[in-house]
Amino acid sequence: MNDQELRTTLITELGIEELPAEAQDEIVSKLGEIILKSVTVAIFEKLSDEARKEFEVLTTTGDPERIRAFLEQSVPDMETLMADELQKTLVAFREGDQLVGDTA
Amino acid sequence: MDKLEQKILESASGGASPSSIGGQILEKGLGGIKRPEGPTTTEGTSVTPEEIRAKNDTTIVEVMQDVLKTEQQQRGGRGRQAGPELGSAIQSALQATQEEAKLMESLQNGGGFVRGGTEAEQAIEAIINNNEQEAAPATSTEIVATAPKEQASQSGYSNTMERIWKENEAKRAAMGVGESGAGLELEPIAPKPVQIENIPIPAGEAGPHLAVPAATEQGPVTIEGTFTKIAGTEIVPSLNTIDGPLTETASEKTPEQLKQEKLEKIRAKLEHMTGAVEARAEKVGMTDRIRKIGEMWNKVPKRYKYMVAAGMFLSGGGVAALGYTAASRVLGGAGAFVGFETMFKDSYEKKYPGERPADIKARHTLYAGVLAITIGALVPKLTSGLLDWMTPGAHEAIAAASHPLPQEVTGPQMSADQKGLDELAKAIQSGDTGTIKTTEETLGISHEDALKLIQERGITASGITSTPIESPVVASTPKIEYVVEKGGTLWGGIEHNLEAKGVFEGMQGGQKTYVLDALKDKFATMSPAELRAIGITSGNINVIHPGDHIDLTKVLGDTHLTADITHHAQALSPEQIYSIEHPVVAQPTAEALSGAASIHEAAPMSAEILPTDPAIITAAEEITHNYVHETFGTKGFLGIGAQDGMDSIDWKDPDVGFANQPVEKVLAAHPGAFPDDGARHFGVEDYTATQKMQAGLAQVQQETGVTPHPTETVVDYLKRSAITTLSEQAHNEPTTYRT
Repeated sequence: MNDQELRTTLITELGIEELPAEAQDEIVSKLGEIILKSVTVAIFEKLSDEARKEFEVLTTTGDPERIRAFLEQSVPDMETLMADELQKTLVAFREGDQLVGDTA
Repeated sequence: MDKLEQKILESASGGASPSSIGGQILEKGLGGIKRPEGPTTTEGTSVTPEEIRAKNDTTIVEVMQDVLKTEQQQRGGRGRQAGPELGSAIQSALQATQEEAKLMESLQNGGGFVRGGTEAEQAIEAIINNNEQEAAPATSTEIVATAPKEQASQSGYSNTMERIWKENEAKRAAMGVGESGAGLELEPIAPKPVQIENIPIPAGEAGPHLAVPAATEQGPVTIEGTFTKIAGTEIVPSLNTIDGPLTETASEKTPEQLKQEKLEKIRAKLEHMTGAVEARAEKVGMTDRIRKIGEMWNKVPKRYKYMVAAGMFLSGGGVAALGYTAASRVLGGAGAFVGFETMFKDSYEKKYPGERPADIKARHTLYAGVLAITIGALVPKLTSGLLDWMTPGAHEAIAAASHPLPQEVTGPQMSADQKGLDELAKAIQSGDTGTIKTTEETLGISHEDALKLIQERGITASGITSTPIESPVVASTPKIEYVVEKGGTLWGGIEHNLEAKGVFEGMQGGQKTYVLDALKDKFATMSPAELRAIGITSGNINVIHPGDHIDLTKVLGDTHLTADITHHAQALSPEQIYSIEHPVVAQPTAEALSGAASIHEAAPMSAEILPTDPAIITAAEEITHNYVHETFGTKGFLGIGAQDGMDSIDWKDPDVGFANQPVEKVLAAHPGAFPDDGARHFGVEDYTATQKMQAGLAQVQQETGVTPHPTETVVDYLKRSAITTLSEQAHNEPTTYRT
């Protein structure tokens, strides 16, 4: 699967094949950004206030091993959390369902 | 004709001058009363005052409507002034009807109200003056209601008009119309018929979700009255639709407009989703942090955005689609964040002891990659090198990681086992034994069965990567397969294929051997995993089994390679050809023996050398090994594919290998250079190998003087020859080992 095939597959899956290329780029970029942000927020939501403060300290050190250990301890089921968040975000995009935390 | 008379005539004739508006109104207001020609007399009238009043009542609304219409037509672009003028005109019309009624009444009653009289002139002047007023009632109904109150004059004439007004007022009251016009019912204007056939159906939206009345099949349907929504005809969003429901109002939209509309809806949805995420972020106090993630993401080149997004999207609902090997090469290569994958791995293995299935590995790698970006954006010190994985080759791996696609994307033809076999084929080609094992376990099939399925389905690693592993030449060449029969050899398979193509035409035996050897060496450079992948189930080119389906395409399909080798073969000198056809094996033996000398020099023998002397025995074994390796070993290419001669099938095969064959049998063997079965043979059954072995034995016997025993095997004879030579050199006297 080359770049073009990958792109075509993704665009088709998103249902935006009839839109101009620039618009497709815009949508893919934005959706990717939302997913990344959504996952990050979901992780932080799992953290206690104290843990959030601790993470802030860790980010200043830049020690990847300590960050990994911190996340492993603070969010033991990271895999499930990420899987759920990915799926919720994508479902929200595809079907227009209400978003997590969306009370609008 | 005085000024007033002139104005009256202009009004009556419907002149086009701005001042004629009132004239038109007057004429209309007269309701068809014939204008007397010449001096006005009572004989000239044909209507009664009652009729005029009745006419006034029935035509007042009509007058208003016509006034509106006329005003619009004649004022044209002066819309801003239409309001005041309109009000004035309507007021004038009301007065005109009242004046006319009074005039007629005067005529009939002989009250001297004649044309040209003072009262008449006053009345007409009042009409004209009223036409020029700029009064601006808000609505027409207000005009009707307030007109009497705006009468400035309370003369006898006015009193008369007021009486008429009151009479009309009473009639209106009887009809239920209030003073302010409340309850006044205007004649409804029928809506313009809507032709359904003229309503454009947006491209791509046709389908069962659009409810069309059955009548359309017989012809156009005209919908009159209010356009109401038909129950049950709501437009259901199509697959992956982001359109949302369409509006009820049918409108003519071009495809471009529809696209733009869809884009705007998507933008709105994404904006909404962004807002929702930001709201969540605000609650946990990380608004600034997720903004950094956005900034980080924006730095990612577009092509990689597509790849990462595809990885996330296509695996969002079913991560099994990702292949571990490819995914790990990409997302897992995010430098310092490889630890994230370890985190997922450890967490999983705590719950489920044992090796992770391939799909789970892929998911973990993907998630580790996502964390690498998100967390990396939050840790500035780590951003350096974070995008290192976006190397030129990474996109290929990402593409591979996104394929095979989920079932819902690829359809039923891409079943789960097919994905596994794809992954397995890749792993075999790359020699990833761990993935081979786990994939086969996941699929629940043996290695042999997996290979068969890969073979049957024609699955190749080149088909599942963005960049073919094989050369383009191979990719476009039909598959060259050799089905091994009993006694068949890889050599024979190559030879048969090339002969069929006429490659050997005009070649001498040595040239042909050169070509075959060169091509065989290409296979010899393959790893056991690669050999298995092409159908050599043993993983050894010297051990092939009947029933193997060997794919020779990778080597024989490379036309550049075969052409190059053939060219070199044709360029061989006669001496070289002779050398190939008559291989000299004495030199290795001599080298081996000279090697013994060096050993002797390095480790001087003891004065008393016995056959059981470990030093002699070790040295003899070393000499024998060297000889066999020189004769039957393979150097490979840069060490790849090298094989020790002692491990070669020509030497160690229990049935035909020389090691355990009696020297006598080997010396007496005469295998055919071109076996009838066309298959490759080994050891004592192979022409070339037997020639080498016979020449070697002869030279050993000649140089050492040691005679083989009748049933002595080749390996024993070689060792004994070496021991004898070493012992005699050590003692400088003949030994008994010669016999």
